[in-house]
Formats: sequence, structure tokens, C-alpha cells
Amino acid sequence: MKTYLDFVSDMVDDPALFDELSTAGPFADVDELRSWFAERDYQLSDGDCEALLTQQRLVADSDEEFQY
Amino acid sequence: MTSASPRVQSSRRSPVFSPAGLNPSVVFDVPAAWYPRIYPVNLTPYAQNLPDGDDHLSLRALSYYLLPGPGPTYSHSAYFDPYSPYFHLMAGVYIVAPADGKRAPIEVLSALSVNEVIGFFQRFRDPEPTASVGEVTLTPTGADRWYLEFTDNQSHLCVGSHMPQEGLPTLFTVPNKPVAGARHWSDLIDDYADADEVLGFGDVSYHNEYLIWKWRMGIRFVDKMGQVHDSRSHPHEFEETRQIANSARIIDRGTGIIPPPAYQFAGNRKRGPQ
Repeated sequence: MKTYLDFVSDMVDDPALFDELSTAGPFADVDELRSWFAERDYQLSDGDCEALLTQQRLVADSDEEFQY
Repeated sequence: MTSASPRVQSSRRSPVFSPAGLNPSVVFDVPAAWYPRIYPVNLTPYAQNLPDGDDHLSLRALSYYLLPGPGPTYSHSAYFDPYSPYFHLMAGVYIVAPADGKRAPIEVLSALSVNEVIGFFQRFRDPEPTASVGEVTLTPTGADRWYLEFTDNQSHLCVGSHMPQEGLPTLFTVPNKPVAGARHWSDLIDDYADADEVLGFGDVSYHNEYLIWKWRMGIRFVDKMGQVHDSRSHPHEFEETRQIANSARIIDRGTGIIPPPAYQFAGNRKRGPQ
């Protein structure tokens, strides 16, 4: 099974993977997140899950938009 | 006003993705001390009538950048803390679309960056935002690859008493008055003070005809007591800007450039010295 870093590399070559991930969330918890990646043959570590869920939380926070 | 602290605990560099719906997208590897969110900016308003030899070009462009995370005692980015080694450290990438089937020339990057920096200062209500690029050095580093460095640049420091206290994300909301029991930027520097030197450099290349500049910046300034502060004196933190910028991977769907909405600035948008 491939790793999360493999996923990031694959995503650069296949933008559809990026878009799939962008539209798949929000993931409710680590299990749901791991399941989504496992279906695509990627295995996430605890650190990967923590980082992804943190990003998901920040992106979902509308307070975070900033333009100039 | 500020809300919950956005402090994030992490122990390593993690891939961080740009927001959905934009093109090209980007992935950065972000160190633990940096805030794990990519901020996109529509650069198109800043990319109008850019000088190009005897002519001028109007282009479409976007930027993605990252800021250092909050310090131990505050919830805004350490970018705004002159006591921090992360003061005015930033890293990101410019993506400039081809126009009429032609690549944007590298020469537009100096005026584009000046315009953008002035826009950034305006957002923080600097009453007289200034920025200029001094000497431009472009060094070939390979096929279709260069290293671009701006030296002798002038700019204000981006902290001052007019900084908005509402309507900005927590990471960008900096107390504009001293807070009891906490050190404050105004103890060290004046309102929107002049920087002694602004550092700006990074690798330039083309990706699917997009002009790509993986930039990073730092600062040198002299505080009220005459002490010199220089980003380069903090090699670990300064090196992180290089790691971030160089980690940028561009993801192009072939749809053409799709930037975020342009910000509608309440005042007149000024252009910097060309």
C-alpha cells in the first residue's frame, strides 16, 4: 500500500486526485479519513491524519479568509 | 476581535494544499512552526500596465503564500512580532499566466511584487505605504530556470497603530496598542517604520507556460535602541522559508488561470514606483 507522500506525488501528476480530496470532505473523524484513502490504496499514519484534519478545520473556518 | 487561538501543534513538515476551486493549485511542505494554511491572492489587479521594456503588459496572476504561526503568548502570526526571529518572514509562489499565447517575461516580477506589497500595506492601513525594488539580479540556473534576487529594496515594516482590530482573521489581527503584561511591537519600533533592508529572492521557472516564482522574503531593521535585527541572523527560521518556497508543487488542470475573487479595497488602489 502506498503512503500519504505517494498520494501527494501522485496528485501533482493527476489533478483529479486533488479535486477528489477537495470535494470529499469534510471528514468526520480519523476512521472516515483513513477509509477514503484506503479505498484508493493509500495508508495514512497518525501524523498524516492529524495534519489533514487540522487543514480541514482551518479551511472550514470562514474567519480565515484574507484578501487584499 | 481575536477569537480562539489558531495555534496548531505538529511535529514535522506536512504537505498543505491550496484551497479548492483555483487553478493552478499548489502544495507546500510546511514546517511545524508555520501556520498550515495557504492564503491565495488575486494578483491580477496588481498586474496591470506592468513595464516591459518600452511597452506595458497587463496580465492575470495569482499568489499563494504562508505565514509563520502564532508565538507562545499571542494568537496572531509571528510575522508581525518584531521580537520574534519570524518577524517579516514569508514564503510563497507567484503564478503569472501567459498572455496572447506568450509567456510573461520575468522582468514583470519586480513591479508586480512592489504593487502587491503596497496592497498588503494598504490592507493594514499604512497611511503612506511604500515599497520599491533596488537592484534586480537574474542568474540562470538551468534550462528555463533562474534565480531572481532583489536587493537594496525599500519598504515600511508592516505594523502600526492603524492596524484593523476587526474583520481580519485571527492570524492577521495584531493589537495596535500595548497590552498590559505583554511586550508590544511599539516598544521596539515606530508606526510603519522604515525597514533597513528587505530581502526578496527565489527560483524562477515556467510550468505549462505559466511564469512561476517561488519566492521568500526576510527583513533587516534597526529598533528604537539602535539594535540591528536581521532575518539572516536566525539561520534555522530563515532556512525554513527556503524549504517552503522550494517545496512548492504546481498542479495545473489545463483550464487556464482561475484566481480567487479580487479584493475590493475601500480606498484607491495605488501602484508603486515602477
